[in-house]
Amino acid sequence: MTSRANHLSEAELVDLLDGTLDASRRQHVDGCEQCAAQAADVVSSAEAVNEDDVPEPPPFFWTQFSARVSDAVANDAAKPRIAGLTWVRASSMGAVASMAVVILWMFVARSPGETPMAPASTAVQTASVAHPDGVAAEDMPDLDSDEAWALVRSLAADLDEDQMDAEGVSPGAGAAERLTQQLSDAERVELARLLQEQLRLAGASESVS
Amino acid sequence: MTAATDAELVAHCLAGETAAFDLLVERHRRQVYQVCYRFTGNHEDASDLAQDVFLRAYRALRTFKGHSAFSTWLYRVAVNVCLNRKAIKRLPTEPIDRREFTDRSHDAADRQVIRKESAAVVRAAISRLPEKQRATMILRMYQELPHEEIASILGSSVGAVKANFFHALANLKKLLREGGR
Repeated sequence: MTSRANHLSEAELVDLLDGTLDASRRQHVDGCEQCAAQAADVVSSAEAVNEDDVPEPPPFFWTQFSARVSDAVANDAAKPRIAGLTWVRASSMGAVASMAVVILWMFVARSPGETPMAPASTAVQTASVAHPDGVAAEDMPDLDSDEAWALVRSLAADLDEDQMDAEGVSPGAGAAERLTQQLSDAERVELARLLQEQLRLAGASESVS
Repeated sequence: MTAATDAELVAHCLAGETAAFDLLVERHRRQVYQVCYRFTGNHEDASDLAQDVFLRAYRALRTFKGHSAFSTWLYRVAVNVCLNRKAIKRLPTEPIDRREFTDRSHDAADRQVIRKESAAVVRAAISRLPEKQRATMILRMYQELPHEEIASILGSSVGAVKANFFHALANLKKLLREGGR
């Protein structure tokens, strides 16, 4: 009889499917009905998925596609930035996401040496002017491991850009991240605290995790 | 410029050479389209979403730091765009009578029809998986990415990716038993 501790874990069953499972663990499957059944299930599901191919689009599609992207990029580059924050999302997560962006901009607007905190639309304009695109890469903090930025990014991912565009709110390429890079460590911690407070108020903390 | 690496093309883009972005589009359009197709199940939506992916990637290009491959970063954008489009979260599905899959294997044409119908059932079932499981399934089974890269795309650990993949396969089996409904 095989002890429960010896059964294959979920990750090992995936390794078995991939053909990367250790030989000693593969031997276990041969003598264990439970693991053998689970392995058979995993294999049959994978085989069902494997039968499906993406149909190849017509040959002219790719040329047209590239042209469409090129036009969209050119139009986007020509758009005026930040016409005003008139847009408010009705859903709680959208509201929190927009709040994240507003808080972020306000933070930047009241950075040392800048003007005091201003109404949101003014703050956005100030931040936009005060921090142009030409920030040297070596001066930028690494935000990949920054919790506050991870939270901002997570919330921003929930924003509906089509609706933002329709309302004339268009922060531009990487604007939120550039703005975050202007914050000190302490300011980013405070930013995270404010965002988490907004999340709690919206009762939406589960949806973000 | 055609011999430039992706990272070099990104640098050219950020320096204002938009032609460099056209090259990035040309290199990666197929994989982006395929991911979008897997999420939408139809050419029109996949095409629109793929265009959106590149537009968003262009807007966020400055955030690409080169810590991962450009393709990995682009996959991340693509998955986020696809998952955030709530309207296409689930493919339109019709109840499919499992009897259609029996006693029709007389010739090649019938087998082709059966294969297409089976594929539709599988696609519908995948569309009903929880988001992370669905994304993991698509990136692993269709894009054939290694677990490590999927972990980077989804912001998870390799262990979590494997667990998600296992549960995706297990749930898929259950859904297929229910006939994709």
